[in-house]
Amino acid sequence: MEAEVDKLELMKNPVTLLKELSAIKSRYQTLYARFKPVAVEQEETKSRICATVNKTMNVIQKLQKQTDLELSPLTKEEKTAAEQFKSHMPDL
Amino acid sequence: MDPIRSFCGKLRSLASTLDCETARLQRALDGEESDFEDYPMRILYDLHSEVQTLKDDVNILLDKARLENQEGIDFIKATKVLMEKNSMDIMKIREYFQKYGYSPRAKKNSVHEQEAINSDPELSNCENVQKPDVKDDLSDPPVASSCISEKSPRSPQLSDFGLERYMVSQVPPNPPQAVNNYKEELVVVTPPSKPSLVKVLKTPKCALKMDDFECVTPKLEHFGISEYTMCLNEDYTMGLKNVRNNKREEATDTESRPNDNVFATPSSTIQQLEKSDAEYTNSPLVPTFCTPGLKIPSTKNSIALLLSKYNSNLATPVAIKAVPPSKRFLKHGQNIRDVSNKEN
Repeated sequence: MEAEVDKLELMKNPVTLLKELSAIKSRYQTLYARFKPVAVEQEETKSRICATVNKTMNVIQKLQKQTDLELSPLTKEEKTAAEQFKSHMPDL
Repeated sequence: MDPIRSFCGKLRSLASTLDCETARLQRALDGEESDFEDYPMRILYDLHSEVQTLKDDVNILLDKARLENQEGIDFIKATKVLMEKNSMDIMKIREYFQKYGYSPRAKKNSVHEQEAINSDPELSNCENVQKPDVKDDLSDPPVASSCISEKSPRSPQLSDFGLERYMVSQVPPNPPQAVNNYKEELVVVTPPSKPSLVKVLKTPKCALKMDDFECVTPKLEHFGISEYTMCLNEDYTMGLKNVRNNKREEATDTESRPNDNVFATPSSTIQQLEKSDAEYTNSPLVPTFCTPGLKIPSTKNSIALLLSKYNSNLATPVAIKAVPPSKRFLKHGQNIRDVSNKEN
């Protein structure tokens, strides 16, 4: 799709451009129709993963509190990832 | 009449438009009409702008799709990072618990051998609630119940308090066994003597209730001492003392039985104690090896003679194996130190 759009931009003749545009439009519509259910599934999976990971993290935190075990502190990326995941949760 | 009229009207309009157009064309041909030049330009311009907007729309859609794609990739990356960290933490926690006797649950492959679960009761409840939904329930309930029944009556072991390194014999230490179990995923059914994990945390504090504590001195009757027997006890003690004194004063070969002379025998308890055998009336010293009745001929070492006398006085064990005991003098020794002679 991107390649076709680039080709479109290169075109100078408006008439041919218009023709190509309509062709691209039709192709995009078919693609969109195919991928829409996949997108829905993806969202659902994302939310489930978020929930599971958050639960796991909570359990680990509880265990850590109970045992007073020193676990390695969160690195930067881990912190950002954790934040990201927590922000996902209220969306549900 | 009407069709003719309509036809004539249409014809008339057509003629007028025709006149108009020819006039315009004539003027365009002469170059006077300005509309003609702008018109195509306008059309072209409109066309171009339309095309541009369409292009822009396409680009916007494309960017949106790209962004969503990138978001998905980032999400997966973040998930991986967090999962890594979680698995590391779980490993650490599992190792920590294994030190105290937690043995991890076997997977579905090794169904035959499964283990009981770990320390904290509430923790085990949580894990029990979560895990049985996911993992197998096959042999869990019977094993869990058997292990629970084993738990309660067992006496506390050293490893219950994390002191298994002080254990000298018997059960091999927990960590290597547990770690091996974990590594090989072979969970061996442990003998019931294997201690389970006790609360790793702080030991519960219990305040001593000193208020209610009465210091009760044991009464004399518990020791068998009453006013009736008091005199006898003293006599018994004195008798022992006298025995020693008699031994010190007289020569080593006394035939008298100090036991019989000294003791009065009113009570039955002392009668039981006193017998013809001297062994029952021995003082509660460690049985010693000595032969007080032994007389060593002067041809042998005089030191040995001294030693034998020394023994009879102090009753300390001395090895006199070098000296051959003569049977004649053994008799005398038997009167008093029967036990020690038996040891000869």
